[in-house]
Amino acid sequence: MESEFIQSEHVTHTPAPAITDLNGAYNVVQRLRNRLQMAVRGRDEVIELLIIALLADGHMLLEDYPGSGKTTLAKALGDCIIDDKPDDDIVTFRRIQFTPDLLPSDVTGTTIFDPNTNRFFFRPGPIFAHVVLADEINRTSPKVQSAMLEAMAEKQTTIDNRTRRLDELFFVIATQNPLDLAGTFPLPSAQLDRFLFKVKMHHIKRDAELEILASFRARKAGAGSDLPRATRTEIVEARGVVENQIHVAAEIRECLVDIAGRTRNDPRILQGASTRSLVLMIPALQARALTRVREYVNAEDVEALAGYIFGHRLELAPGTDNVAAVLKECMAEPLERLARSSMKR
Amino acid sequence: MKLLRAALGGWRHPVRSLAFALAAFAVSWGIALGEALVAAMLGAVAGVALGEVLGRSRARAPVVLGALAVACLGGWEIAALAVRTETLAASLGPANALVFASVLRFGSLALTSVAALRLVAVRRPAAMAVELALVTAAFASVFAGHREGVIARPLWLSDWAWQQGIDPAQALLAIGAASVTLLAVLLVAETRSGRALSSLLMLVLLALGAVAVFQVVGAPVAPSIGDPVQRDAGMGQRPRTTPDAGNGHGPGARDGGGAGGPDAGDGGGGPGVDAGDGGGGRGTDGGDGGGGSSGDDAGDGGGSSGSDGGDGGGGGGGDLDGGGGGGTPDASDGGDVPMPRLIDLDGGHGVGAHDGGRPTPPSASERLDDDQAPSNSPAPMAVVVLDDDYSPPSGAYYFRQEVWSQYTGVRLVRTTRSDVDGDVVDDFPTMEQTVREPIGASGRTRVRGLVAVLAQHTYPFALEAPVRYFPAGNPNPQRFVRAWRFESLAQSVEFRRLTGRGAGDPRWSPEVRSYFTAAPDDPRYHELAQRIVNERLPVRLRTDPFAEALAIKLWLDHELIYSTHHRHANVPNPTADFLFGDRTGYCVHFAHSAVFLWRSLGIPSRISAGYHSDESNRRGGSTILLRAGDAHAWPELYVTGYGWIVLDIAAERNLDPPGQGTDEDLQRILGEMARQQPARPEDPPPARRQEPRHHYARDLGRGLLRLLGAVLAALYAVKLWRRARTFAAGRRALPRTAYRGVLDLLSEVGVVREAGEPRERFAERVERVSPTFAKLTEMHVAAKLADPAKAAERFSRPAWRETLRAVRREVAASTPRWRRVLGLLHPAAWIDAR
Repeated sequence: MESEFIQSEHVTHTPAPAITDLNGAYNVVQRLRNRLQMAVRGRDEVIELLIIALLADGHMLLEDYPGSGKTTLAKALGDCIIDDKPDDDIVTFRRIQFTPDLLPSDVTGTTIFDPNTNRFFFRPGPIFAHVVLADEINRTSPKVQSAMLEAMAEKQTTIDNRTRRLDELFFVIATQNPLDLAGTFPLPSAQLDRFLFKVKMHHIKRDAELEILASFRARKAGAGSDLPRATRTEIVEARGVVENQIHVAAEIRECLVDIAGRTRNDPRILQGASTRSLVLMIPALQARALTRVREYVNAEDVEALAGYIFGHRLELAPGTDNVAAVLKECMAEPLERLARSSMKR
Repeated sequence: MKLLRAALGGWRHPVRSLAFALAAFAVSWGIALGEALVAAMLGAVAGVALGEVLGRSRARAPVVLGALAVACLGGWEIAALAVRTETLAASLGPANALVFASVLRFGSLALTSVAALRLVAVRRPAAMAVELALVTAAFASVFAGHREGVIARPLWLSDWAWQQGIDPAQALLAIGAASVTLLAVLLVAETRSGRALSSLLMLVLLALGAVAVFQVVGAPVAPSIGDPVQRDAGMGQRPRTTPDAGNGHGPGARDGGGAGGPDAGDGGGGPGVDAGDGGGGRGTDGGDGGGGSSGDDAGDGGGSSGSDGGDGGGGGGGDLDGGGGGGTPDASDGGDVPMPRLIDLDGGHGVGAHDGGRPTPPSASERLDDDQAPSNSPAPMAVVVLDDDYSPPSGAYYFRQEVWSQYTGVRLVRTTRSDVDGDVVDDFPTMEQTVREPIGASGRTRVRGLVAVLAQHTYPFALEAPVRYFPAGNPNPQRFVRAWRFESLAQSVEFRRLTGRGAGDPRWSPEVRSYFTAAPDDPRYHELAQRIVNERLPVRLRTDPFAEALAIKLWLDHELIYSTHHRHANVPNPTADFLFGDRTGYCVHFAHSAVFLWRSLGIPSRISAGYHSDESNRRGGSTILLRAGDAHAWPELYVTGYGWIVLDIAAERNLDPPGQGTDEDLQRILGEMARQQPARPEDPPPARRQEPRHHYARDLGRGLLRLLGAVLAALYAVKLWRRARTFAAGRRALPRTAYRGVLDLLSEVGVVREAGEPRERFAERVERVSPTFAKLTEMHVAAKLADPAKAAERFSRPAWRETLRAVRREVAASTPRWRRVLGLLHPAAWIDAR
């Protein structure tokens, strides 16, 4: 309900009051959205998903051609976040360019002997950041991939038998090139499952492209950099608000389970949606409800996110390739039931 | 409750099926064929299963209920077609077609109604109370329609109960209570606590309603077990409480049951009343009252009326066995209203009683009473329409119903022999029927006529002396009980020409002759008769039988006093008591006196009973109205060559108040009514022109049209209901009903949500028709999906009303008028609205 939210573009972030309600959380969303939209033109849909994934504490896999703005987007997100704990050695943004010869320690960090003190000390790798861009994640060896994925799933990493916590706000944007697959190590489905969304970015519309060309110089000069940003703490608090205050009705949960059940029983699908995907989906739905200024999850949320969440988790049987169509058929009946449930007492 | 549920376990559905099957049986057993009965029970069981399945499915209740209604109508239509058209009847045979139709009817009705009930109950457990009520009503219906709480049907049950000494009312109540308890247990077991409470509340209300009804109808009165005091008092004489105590001069003199029998109908007579329709009444008592003849044997009417030797109970025999007929008033009280039929005559000496149990002919003679009410009653009993003009020499018409000729030692009764009295018949004619011994035609004229009776009679009667009976159609079943035609040879010879002839039929054997002259041993009869003859007749006539009989008749006319109040009851020999006593009595006494006097002189004679009507009552018309008070018994003697001649006693002195005259209008109306039939019913009715029917298509078309009409009506009803609900819904239901109203509206203009399309996306699509619809959709969805703790404002009526208005306005503005009108007329647009 829109009236419940403060529609203000001008929010100061110092001193940042604690985010405890939906208005505050939506405020954070607005700040992120404004900055990202200023930085990346014509990608509103992906920006929405990005914000949702961020608030749902998930990670995102972008699949697109080179030069379509993946890196820009990730960097812009890093720019949005103020590191309000500067002394913890964790920066807001890091980028890892995956190559076949990369080693796990290049990602996670390593212990180094300091001749001055005669001690080993830990030097954190690039994953010790709030936002990590894992570029071309399929180019690196499975060993590195699994190190990366452990960090993503557990928010921790083990170096020299010592487990270190990553930051609470640890958000990975991975990319992979759908073409040019020579010499790559495609992610196995178990690892794809760690990503909340897999988003295929399409070429943007003509108008948006024209605008990009027109505003390129201005943006390079730093236009929009004065828009308000959000602190790391605010984002973490917003996550808590999303989790606790966006209502998920029993009908929605039933619908999700029904959809998963249908994907498991469909003969065109070898492996249906996992229970983990459902668990991950709930916060995503809640986050989307927040971005839509709504205090409850509705059927449209389910319909809109199901493709991004289930698309990369389903393993289709040979002879079937259009996952979206199959998924749509699986969703139709549970969604209809959900819609009708509102007509029941 | 959990315990209950656990105890019932998997038996819930079988138990419920049983209850419904029994209810279906109870409802239809009186109206359905055997096969249909089975179909109804099976249908009920299947209905339970179907209802359960449908109730658990996600199908929408109004749609399913509509479909069930259509299915039921379809079943009835097909059944109707099966009977109406000839195709099925030709291929299956008419009987099978009928069976098929009723199986279809009852089966489909039971199936659909039970399924609908069950469906509703599954969806809303509180609705089980309705099930409960209907099952209760089903059982109650079996026992409804019993007068004054007297429960005698179903017979198998009431008979069994009586045999066990249980009041059937209690047995029935027990059955009903058991079945209702069964369902109540199910109800409580199946509902969750909150709803069980409301259901139980309903139950209490139902119970209160039942009690209210009960009090209106009155508690069943245990029949038959009479008041002991009254029973004892009843010993030899009828309880004086009965209003008809002083009646009767009819042949049977007394009460009998027909229309007028006070005892019979109104319960005034006390205990006797109820056994009424129990058929035979099982008399309770046997022993009491010393009446001896136990209810049962007398009840059979078998051979012995009373066997007993009991005192006083004389009447017992007779009385009981009237049981068959409509009246049967006293059936239950063998001893206690002993008097009843055999009337005054036997007041004390009852048929079998006096002579110590000698078997006597069954009380056939008494049956007459059943048909005739006490004297002076103007209640019309029958209408006779004479086809031929006939004026009797005696000035009165005599309609003979039966003949009493056999002397029992006390009185005359119906004969047990087959070779005498062959001029009356026992059964109503179903075809042309000639009496066994038609009378000779000399001195007689042929008279035909029609009799239509307004009350049940035991035997047919006809103008003396009937020769042939013919069946006749009932001219007006609402008025008449039955009708028949007769052909009689009525007396035309003048009485004075009857002298100079002998008495009796020369063909008679001496044995038969002595049968018709058997009289009491009492010498006083002969002495009196001889004295009268000697005093009144010239010598030359002293051996002439008719002259002697006439002399005696005239003496009796002069000497006897008519009074229905002198019953001569409670004496061993009523006739002697009457004739040699106060000589005050009525027709049965007169007739017995005359016959005994005649017989003492050796003149063959007998008594006939039936109706008597003065010629003057005819008023020149051909219609004779016979009233209950016209019942009569009269003496007859056999004049050689002329047969049985009626020589009735007409007392000059009458202590009774004069009766009412004939109601001429009634006589005329009933006569006209009775005439409304073919003059000659024995002719075969004109064959009806059989027009072959070629209307299958038309019948089918009509059936389909009717079906279509029903479906349309149902659809419009649902539409109207949904529309009306929009405004008249409770607060909690507002988001549903109001939104549904708008969906209907949109559906009418052709905007419907796709299957699987979220409502919000639909709302986006509808934006060009109604931008506010998105808001309404959100309000609607939020009511269901949002946190209920924060949802209070979603049910605000003004907000809804306002938004609704906006949507309606926008829809009206954005769609052409013809589209909206068309949508308004569309009966099924709502089906698409989802």
